[in-house]
Amino acid sequence: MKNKTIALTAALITAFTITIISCKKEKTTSDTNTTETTVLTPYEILLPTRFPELVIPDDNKPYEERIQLGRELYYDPILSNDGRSCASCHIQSQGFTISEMKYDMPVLPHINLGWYSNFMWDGSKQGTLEDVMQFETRDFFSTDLAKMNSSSKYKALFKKCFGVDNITHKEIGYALAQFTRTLISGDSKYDRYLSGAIDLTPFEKKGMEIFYTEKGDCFHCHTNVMYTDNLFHNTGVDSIYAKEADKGYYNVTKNILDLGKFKTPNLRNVALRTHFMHDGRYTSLDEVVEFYNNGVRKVSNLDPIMTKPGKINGLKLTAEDKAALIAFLKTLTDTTFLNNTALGKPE
Amino acid sequence: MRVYFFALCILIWGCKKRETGVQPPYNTGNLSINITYSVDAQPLSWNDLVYKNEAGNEYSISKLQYYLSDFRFYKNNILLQGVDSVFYIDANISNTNNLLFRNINSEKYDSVSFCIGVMPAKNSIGGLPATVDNNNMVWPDMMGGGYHFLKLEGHWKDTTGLNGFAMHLGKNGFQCFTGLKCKIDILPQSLSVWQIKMNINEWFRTPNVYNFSTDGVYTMGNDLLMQKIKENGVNVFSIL
Repeated sequence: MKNKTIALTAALITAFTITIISCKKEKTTSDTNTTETTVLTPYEILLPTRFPELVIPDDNKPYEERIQLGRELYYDPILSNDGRSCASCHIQSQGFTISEMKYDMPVLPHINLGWYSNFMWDGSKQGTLEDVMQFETRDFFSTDLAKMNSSSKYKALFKKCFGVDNITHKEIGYALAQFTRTLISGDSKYDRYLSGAIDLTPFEKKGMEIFYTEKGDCFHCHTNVMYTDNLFHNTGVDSIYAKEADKGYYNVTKNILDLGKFKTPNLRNVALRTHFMHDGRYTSLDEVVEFYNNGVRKVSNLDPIMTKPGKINGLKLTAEDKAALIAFLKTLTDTTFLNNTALGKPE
Repeated sequence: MRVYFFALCILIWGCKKRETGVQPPYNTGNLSINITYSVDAQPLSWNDLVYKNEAGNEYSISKLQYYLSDFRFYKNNILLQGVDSVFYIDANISNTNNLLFRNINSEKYDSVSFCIGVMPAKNSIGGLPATVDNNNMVWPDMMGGGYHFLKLEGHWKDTTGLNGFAMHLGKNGFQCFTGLKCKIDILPQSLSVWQIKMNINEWFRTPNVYNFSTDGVYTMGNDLLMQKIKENGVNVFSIL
């Protein structure tokens, strides 16, 4: 009996040992995002309710350390050779844009960029946020890599975050993408209304109805919760494209049907802006709404959505309708986003 | 001996996880439905003003996006399998025009029915997975809620020049149910391919000849016009 017990125990130990060894392959080190001495901290980007899923490239999944590095870079003029940083033209309190015109055009805000695949007014940059941020450092800023590599601070941070001894535009772009992907605006007064936390005024609701029905028909391009469809439209701003910049998406595709098409701008925090349309020709929301009300030019490639019977040249809204629509647009201001210290300049 | 047999059992049990959930069912196969487009005998060419509909309107096409859902596979008029998936299709994005159905029961099906649009159970904002494509198809709550079932847009030539048209379909009650005879042989553990074609001119032909000039160029918010388009949608697909 005793011998049997010993034999059984030995057999069990042997079996378990074999089991562990034979099953060892299952315990793969699936996430080896470590450098020689550092383990990075995975970061979960929390999405506002109703927002679409965020597709993030496999080779740049979010980590706290990389986001912080991107934040450092975003606010650091080391990126340029003339004292500018990203934040020079993308000021948080102004909705990550700037009230001044730059290069004869309004600066598109850095809001919810993680969902975009088309960038710039004319779509001249397409791809992932990693792609466009590499463009920013390599081509827009012409970041001096020698300067970056002579910075002991950045040498250490890039080593820690990306495991590289030599900083290139790729790692800089990736770090910027990490941070800019967290610039998420989704807590405006209207968002809180949708979640039931607060109510809108009757006037704001009237504007909301205009926005979301055929009366205003804003929603087809400024889509649900994202307020941009990330696509290009000719909305009848011009009938003659005198300047190169007026040709818009045509400058990318060279297709005559794309003349005057521009990317739909995001309307979140739109009430903070001071220049509108691709060339900043309008300086108030009143002017913009009046354009859509009565100033649309009939051109051959006018977006089909803009060509409703009985609404030639515009929406034909009353003065009260227009004011209500603007009141609604002001509910898209997101003070949480504007004041979020995690997005501000690092201490 | 019994002891070693017992130990062997433990060994097998310990590694059991590796053997489960890996093998596909032996009595099912996959099906790919591939969709192509034409305007009667002409191939689809984006933004070319080369098409003429039944009413004689000359037109071009700039956008064609829609949903297909509620696929049901039949044999001898007996429903053998339903599929609960909803497919978003942009005719201009090739991979969305290949619909993949996994683990369809091996059978020789002779007809298929499906819905152009989103079935009511999922046709409320948030009813479909939160993707950018689905978000762009949202049909505002104030107009009935849910998703656009169809966006067919382009330009047409009237007496004054070029104008736009936007045939949008949405809102519960305007799902378009259609079906096709077929010969789909799903073989175990293999991929079968079935090709179908949408003739875009059918949206304007039968049973309602749709005329941009007299009917209108904008259907959203107009139940009468949407009903015409919905009824015509029954005939837009055919087997290739």
